Amino acid sequence: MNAALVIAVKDLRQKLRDRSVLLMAVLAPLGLAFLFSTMLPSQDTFHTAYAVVNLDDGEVARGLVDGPLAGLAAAGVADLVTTATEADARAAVEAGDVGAAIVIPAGFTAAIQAGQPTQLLVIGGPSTLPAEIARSVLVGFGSQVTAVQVAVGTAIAASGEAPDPALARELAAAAVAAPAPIVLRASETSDRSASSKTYYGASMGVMFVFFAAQFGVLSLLAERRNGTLARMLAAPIAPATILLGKVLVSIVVASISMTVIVLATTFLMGADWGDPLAVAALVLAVALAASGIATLIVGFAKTEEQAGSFIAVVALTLAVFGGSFFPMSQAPEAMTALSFFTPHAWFLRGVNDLAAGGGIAVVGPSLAVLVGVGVVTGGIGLLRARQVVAP
Amino acid sequence: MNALAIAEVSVRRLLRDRTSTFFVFVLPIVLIVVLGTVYGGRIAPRMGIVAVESGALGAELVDAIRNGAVKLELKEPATVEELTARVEEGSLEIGVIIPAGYDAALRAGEAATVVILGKPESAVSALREAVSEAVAAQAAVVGAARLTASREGIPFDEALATARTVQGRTAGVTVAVERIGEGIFPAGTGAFSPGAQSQLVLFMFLTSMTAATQLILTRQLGVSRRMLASPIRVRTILVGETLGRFGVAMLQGLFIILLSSLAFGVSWGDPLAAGTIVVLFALVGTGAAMVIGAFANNPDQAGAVGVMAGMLLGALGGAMVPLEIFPEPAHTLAYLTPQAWAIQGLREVALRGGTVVDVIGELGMLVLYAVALLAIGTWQFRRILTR
Repeated sequence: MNAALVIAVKDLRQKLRDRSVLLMAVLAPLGLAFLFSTMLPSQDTFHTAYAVVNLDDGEVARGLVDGPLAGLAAAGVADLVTTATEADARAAVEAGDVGAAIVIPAGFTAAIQAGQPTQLLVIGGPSTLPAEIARSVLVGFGSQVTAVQVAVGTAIAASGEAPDPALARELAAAAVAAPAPIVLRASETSDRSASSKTYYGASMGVMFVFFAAQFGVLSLLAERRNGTLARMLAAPIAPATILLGKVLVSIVVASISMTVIVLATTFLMGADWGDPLAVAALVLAVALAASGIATLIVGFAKTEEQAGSFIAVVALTLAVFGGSFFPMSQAPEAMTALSFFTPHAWFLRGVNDLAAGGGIAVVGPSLAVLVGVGVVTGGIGLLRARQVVAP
Repeated sequence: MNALAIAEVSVRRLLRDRTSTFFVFVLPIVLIVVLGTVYGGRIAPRMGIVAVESGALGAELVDAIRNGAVKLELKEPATVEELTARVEEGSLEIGVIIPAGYDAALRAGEAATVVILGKPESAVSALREAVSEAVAAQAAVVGAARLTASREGIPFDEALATARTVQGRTAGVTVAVERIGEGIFPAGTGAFSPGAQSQLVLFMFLTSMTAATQLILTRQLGVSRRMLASPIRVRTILVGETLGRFGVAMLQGLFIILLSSLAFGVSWGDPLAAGTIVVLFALVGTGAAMVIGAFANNPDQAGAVGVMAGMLLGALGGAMVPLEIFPEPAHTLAYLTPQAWAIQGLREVALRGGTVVDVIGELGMLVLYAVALLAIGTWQFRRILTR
């Protein structure tokens, strides 16, 4: 045991001095996480501006502007800019000053009171969301107006009486006064997905942790090539001790890499990983999984170059399918299912689970899978690697 | 002639290395396919709806949401618990619950409650509006039927049928939407097209970067010294090595272009314009490879720096996430990278039918990058070669 520690500490000291270890294990993931989190627009807040052109003087148009549209402004969704003409509004959309323009046509109120069709206009810019929201708000308002017209029309049609303005007004008042038959209630669920800053830290970290984990076990092959392995074996050290030392280095370098990323994204970029104990367990578990896979590859490789490049191939393939490059929650379901064959997806799932709060218990499944992957692949790898250290 | 022989060796060495063949030929295609299926296949945001035992009016509401003006993909989980879990994990943008007994409650004159489940961040969502639109339309006929049934003393169902007829012929207030300018990607852009251009730029550069390590190996193994000892002029060696890097980059580029157009139907647009961009970008990659290969001390260092530079410049230049959605200041900063200019040019040519004239600015920028990098790279390489 003591000998294993001595080997591990010596190797670690060497690795920490190696600039390419620093580059691959820390700087690359941090740089990419930083780039992604600053490059991508934050989806957490939506805000736009609308140009409103009210060409009608009537009460219904005023009701629209003071009601639903003022509501959008009050809710902080959009700023409203009043524009005199449709041409001005178009110019504002074209210049990108507003997200969309809303045009209330002349004679809007009169048409509604006369039961005539009328049309509101939304002029959208390159981004579709502002126009879509404006459209929906207008449709919502329009359907209330239409609902009253339908109620009046139905009652008159059923009674068989001639349409009479006084009756229509009475019916309209009754329709407006009636309670809404269907109530729409919004209910907030907890959020089990990490913020984009945390997500990109996690996804880049887990991709590079597989590169970081290679450094310990790879040196086994390097030492064999250099002949230092034979010299170690000549000393009274059990081959298993040497293996243990190398695997320890992999786990420690991988854990350090991930820990630095957790700390740096938390303190420099404002990521929020959640419960520290659960995060620590996840970091250790993913370091174990990555080291296990690296050991497996080293066990089957002939040379250091071969193992190193095969690790890179495996790490990148798993990263692509495991969701390191794009959140898998948005992918077609078959892709999402496929992603759970990778340790990456389980680690990211653990990070997402922590976003809703909760402690180590919520990441139980992720921990179990990651440790399982580490133990199984590492075990097979170590069995094979015995041949490497066999005298 | 000698220069060509030197170049040929570079390309051959790349092709013989099995790991390189993975990075050059397999990984880019995997990424194009995965990106295409993740983003391209998706037509609309996803909504989940649970309407168990909600009756005929419940089913009608589900249909109205499905066929409404807002494009969406409707999933129907079996239980409210499953719906909630899927909304929480983000695989559904919002969830809708139409309660059991919805139909009966509406017919009995009671108020029925439809619940929209969503994360706080989905507070502003087109899907929520789609639900409220459908609910409003149904509430209109139910309200009209109630009013009429109570006034005229006729059965609810009869009044409901009349209300539907009246709703059908009531023009009411409609909303027209028109659009100024074009979307981020023009309509009709194939699922794989934007991905193919980004991957082309990302991988041509990355492959050039890995070719930089070969340059160092050539020096370390003494190949360059032996070449110097032969009656080959220094200039020929420089040209040969540069041509080698260029060959590798072009091989990568042509492979992605050919495979993506043959297998995935990606259109690259005007061949002359697209070809010019690809050749110039290959020269930029060549220049960067020469710079790193000439300044780095050992292959490990060059490999790490090269991959880092390739990934970071790729990310910043819009080769991983479309430039079009970058916020400021990232959007402006992106144009410091040759990647951004190459992608912008390729998109203009492929998606908007641009010709050489339309991308003259992008071509100019790429020429500047290529000339600068090649000048620095060959100058330094010559220095260490003749030292």
